[in-house]
Amino acid sequence: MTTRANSNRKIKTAVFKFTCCAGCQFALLHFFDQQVETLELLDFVYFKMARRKELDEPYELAFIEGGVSTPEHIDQLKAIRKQAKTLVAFGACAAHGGVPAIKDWQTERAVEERVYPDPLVVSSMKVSPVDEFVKVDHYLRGCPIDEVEFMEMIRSIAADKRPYVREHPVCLECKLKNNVCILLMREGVQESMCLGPVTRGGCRVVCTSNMRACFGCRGPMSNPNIPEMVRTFKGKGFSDRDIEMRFTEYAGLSAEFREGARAYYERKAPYYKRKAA
Amino acid sequence: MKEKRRIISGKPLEKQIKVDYIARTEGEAGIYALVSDSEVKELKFNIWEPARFFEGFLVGRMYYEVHDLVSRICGICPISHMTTALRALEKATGIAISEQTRTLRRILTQSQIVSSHIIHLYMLSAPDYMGYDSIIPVISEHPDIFKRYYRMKTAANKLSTLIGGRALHTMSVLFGKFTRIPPRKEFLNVADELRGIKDDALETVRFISRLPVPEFHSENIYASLKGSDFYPINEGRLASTSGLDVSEDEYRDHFTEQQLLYTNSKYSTLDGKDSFMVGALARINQNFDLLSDDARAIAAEIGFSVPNYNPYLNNLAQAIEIVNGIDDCIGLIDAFYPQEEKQVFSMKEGEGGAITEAPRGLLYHFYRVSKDGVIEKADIVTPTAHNASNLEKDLNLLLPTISHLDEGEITMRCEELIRAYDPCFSCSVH
Repeated sequence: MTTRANSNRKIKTAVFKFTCCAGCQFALLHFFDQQVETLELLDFVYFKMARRKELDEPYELAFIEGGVSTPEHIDQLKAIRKQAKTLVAFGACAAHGGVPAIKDWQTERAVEERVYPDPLVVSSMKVSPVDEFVKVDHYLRGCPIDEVEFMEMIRSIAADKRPYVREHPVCLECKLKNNVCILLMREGVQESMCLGPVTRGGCRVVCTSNMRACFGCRGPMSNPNIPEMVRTFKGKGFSDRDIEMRFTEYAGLSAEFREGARAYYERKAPYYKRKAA
Repeated sequence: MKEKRRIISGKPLEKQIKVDYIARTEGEAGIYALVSDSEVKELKFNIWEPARFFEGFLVGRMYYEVHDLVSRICGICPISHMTTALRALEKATGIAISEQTRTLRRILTQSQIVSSHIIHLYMLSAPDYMGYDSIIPVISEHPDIFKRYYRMKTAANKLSTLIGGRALHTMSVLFGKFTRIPPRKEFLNVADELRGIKDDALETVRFISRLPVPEFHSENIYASLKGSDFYPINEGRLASTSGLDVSEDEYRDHFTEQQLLYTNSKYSTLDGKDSFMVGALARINQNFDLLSDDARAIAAEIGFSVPNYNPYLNNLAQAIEIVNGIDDCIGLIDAFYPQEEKQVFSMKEGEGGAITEAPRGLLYHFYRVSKDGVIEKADIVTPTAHNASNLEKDLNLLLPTISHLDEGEITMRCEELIRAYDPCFSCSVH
């Protein structure tokens, strides 16, 4: 049997951009020079930011960058899914909606009218993550994506192997690195409102190592304890509004973070009352 | 993508230029043009980047998260959005930042301008003139050029990483301060690396000046900040070559935006009628005397003089700015002695706007903040939204002069012009 692992064939890869800042594609360009060996496994048949070439040949690996925010995106996405053997959600916007999805928490029309005098001309709808419409094989989370995780994934795909999925929280990596705990040791909303205990690890704790509280760009870990996180925040004196803001920044559309943000919207949720009683 | 039009008897030959998705730019845009012998019949510069409504959803968010969120407007110039938003918010809430924070922000922004220019020149623009469709073949066929690019970018990114925590979407910047201040020793190490790439930067200017650039003259109005003592990056007076010279608070009295039907980006005009160009060429045209000595020397060596009216030479202006940026950073670092500082703020409600020079030109942010620290109004105008109208004007001027070429060639020349502007379509539709 010939697998990708023992053939010298490069993986034909296409990179698509939907609603995002293009920063993850840009990070990929950054990797070009540092990781030439790994990237040689890929043959970019379609990568508009790097190459002046139309999409005119088949591909097997598709990177989807950005959330889905226009009806045309859905059609395009389904066509990509049909063609690609492996589909990767590339970055926080594709995985969870990301920053553009903040607008989902407000009335669509009110948001649009603040920007365009005539919003009807602009084709737009609520922002959704890619897996709302098609099956996603692998996720590369984070805003922007992490280099090590990306390279690991490429090599796994090339070797026909399941990439390593991180289920642990950011805290685990922080402890391994002997960082001082930001959540416990620092004060103030800006400085210490750290989502590390509920956020999925794999970012090599780049933020907390730089004394920056985790803002949850990688989305929830598996099975997080959101009620306890909210209680800790309240114990530190953060307001309901602050808590809602923190949970809705990068992955507010995920079920777990949505639950955390509800502390602000629906104060009757039972577990928030427990402490007060 | 092109399509040959048949000559129908009695009708003149028309050429159709159609690019659905312009490659090697940041974001998504296309052009459609219909040209006959010496006349542009139709021209549409369509930025179809999906709208993200930043100005809309920022309303209701808290003051301390705005700079993080707006940095996600753009993947190439996040630091510029960050520093501009912070300065606008600090102005609105009446907070004075320390001199140290100001200096660090300047170094951070300069490092980003240098690395953005390097990437634009080598990765996005230069392959056009070298006859490649991307940088990938350059790696094996011109290893010296690729290595030079790699050395420069690594050094510039190291400086951004030192101050900001990482090169892309920096995270150590907070409202009013930094999360931590690195020790002086680390700054000096990076300064040494910057000295090491100085020759590469000078070589870059020569390399870009040798690339064949089309002769093209367009009497543009150039708008940028104007400095008095320093090359303007994060602050300065707003000036244009048409005689405008006002403070940044008067921005909205002179610059207006309008929505068009065929593009998602709004178009900006100066004093209600003129289109204008922003970016490296505009900055250099208005601040040539404030460039570092070496930058002026290399400009003289390759015969670059101001004012310059060829938009293709925006690339060359960027190359000169790389030299200037490196000199500026080295100078600032040498005089920089980090101190631990504790800052306590008392905020008030208010509104304020700030203008800075992003790598691609003038960037405007305006916010109104309530007494609880909630954003009530946001207004953002990005460099490419400023440039969009002028880009269309230049395409209109360019097309008749090249209408005798074949369609593939015309398409290429149009794309080159667009890439010379270094547009960021993600920014323009924010």
